[in-house]
Amino acid sequence: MTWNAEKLLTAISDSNPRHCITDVRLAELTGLEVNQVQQSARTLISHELMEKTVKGCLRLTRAGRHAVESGASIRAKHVLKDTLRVRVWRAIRIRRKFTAPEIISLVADGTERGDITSNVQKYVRALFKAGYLIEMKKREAGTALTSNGYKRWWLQDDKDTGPKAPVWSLEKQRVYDPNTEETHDISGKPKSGEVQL
Amino acid sequence: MKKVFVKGITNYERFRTGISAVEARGASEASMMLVTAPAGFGKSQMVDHWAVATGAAYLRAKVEWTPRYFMTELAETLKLDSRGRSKDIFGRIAGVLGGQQISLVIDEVEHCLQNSAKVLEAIRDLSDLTEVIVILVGMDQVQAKIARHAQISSRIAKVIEFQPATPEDVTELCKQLSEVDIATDLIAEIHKQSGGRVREIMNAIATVEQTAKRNGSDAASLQDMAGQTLTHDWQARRPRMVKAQGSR
Repeated sequence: MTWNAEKLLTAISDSNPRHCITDVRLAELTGLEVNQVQQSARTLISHELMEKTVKGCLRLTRAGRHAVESGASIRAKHVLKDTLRVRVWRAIRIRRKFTAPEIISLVADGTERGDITSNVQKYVRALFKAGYLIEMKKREAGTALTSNGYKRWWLQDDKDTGPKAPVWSLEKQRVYDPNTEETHDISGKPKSGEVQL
Repeated sequence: MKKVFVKGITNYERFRTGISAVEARGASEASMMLVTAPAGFGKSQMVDHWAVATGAAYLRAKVEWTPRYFMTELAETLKLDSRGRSKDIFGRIAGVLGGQQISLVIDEVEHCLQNSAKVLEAIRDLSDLTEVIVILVGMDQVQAKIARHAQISSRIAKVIEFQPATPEDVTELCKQLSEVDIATDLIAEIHKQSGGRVREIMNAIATVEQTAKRNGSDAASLQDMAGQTLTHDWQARRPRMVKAQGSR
């Protein structure tokens, strides 16, 4: 999906810088109505992403070029599927301190196959071994009569590497982070320590 | 207690209806939605569940936020370069939010109202420019406070006020979350004692489950819970007991 303002930014970015791009010319280039162009142009100018010269030509500011570049760089990259682990990683980033059952109640949509509790717990354990999570000393009280409670985990700000979920490979015993493009070997001892809180 | 997200309750329907209305708006119309409720009504769970499902960018507002601090934090959440001039950061954020149509959730929006609500104005600017849905989440009084800023409140397309759970909601929550069968009379008692607060309903279900399992039963009625604490009255600082049937 493209937002109208981005259509304007991209059209100017792709045009010959020597040409004067007016509202009418932008409407031709983007397929938008002139009033839509004028409305979006006003917003872009007010946010200093675009400017109008004395001759009435529209051109990008440096911030406008940043907007075009960051939008394009995101679209150029492979977008991950909406898998259970992707949703678990999103939930961890939102909650920061959590138990596995808390995360399960946020990610389960009824379409999962297999044992979701085991899947989530194994993924969380792999993230812990790879150094993303800290295991907290105090456990959350369980609801079952004989429960020992639930382990609590903590994703610290500096371990939140980005929106893409780290990819855990059970066979290779490693975790690949598509945000940093780093691979963590998790065959040995966990990297994270335990903190007393 | 089962760990599932319960959809068949009225606040979920309210929330979904609000989202649908904002999604169906015209491109140039307001795209912000305000979700309000007192503490314990389940709004965080609902909004977090939606943010996880849609991949929305999620920020919890801080007392110290300035427009610059907010944008820096949002850029870091999106893993963008947060250095440079404010308008450059704004440009990078707008490029990604708009380009990917990533929705934005701001929890504890009360903290965005200081200093003439400048942070909220920055959020509105992003919403206007990128046309993405922005969900603002706050306590029940926040709507009146936002209403003082006409330039922001006019951009809010929908206000969703979470209400106390109905008796039907409590029945649905008990059915989906409890590992034991909870009788109708006990469901009514949970509804009465909890005042429809989801947090208290969950605690009550856990208590009922424990009692039933201790008694070696897979079901519980009001009589089974007689003399026991079901919920806690935090204002009076005392537990609420279940009275034995027939007693006054």
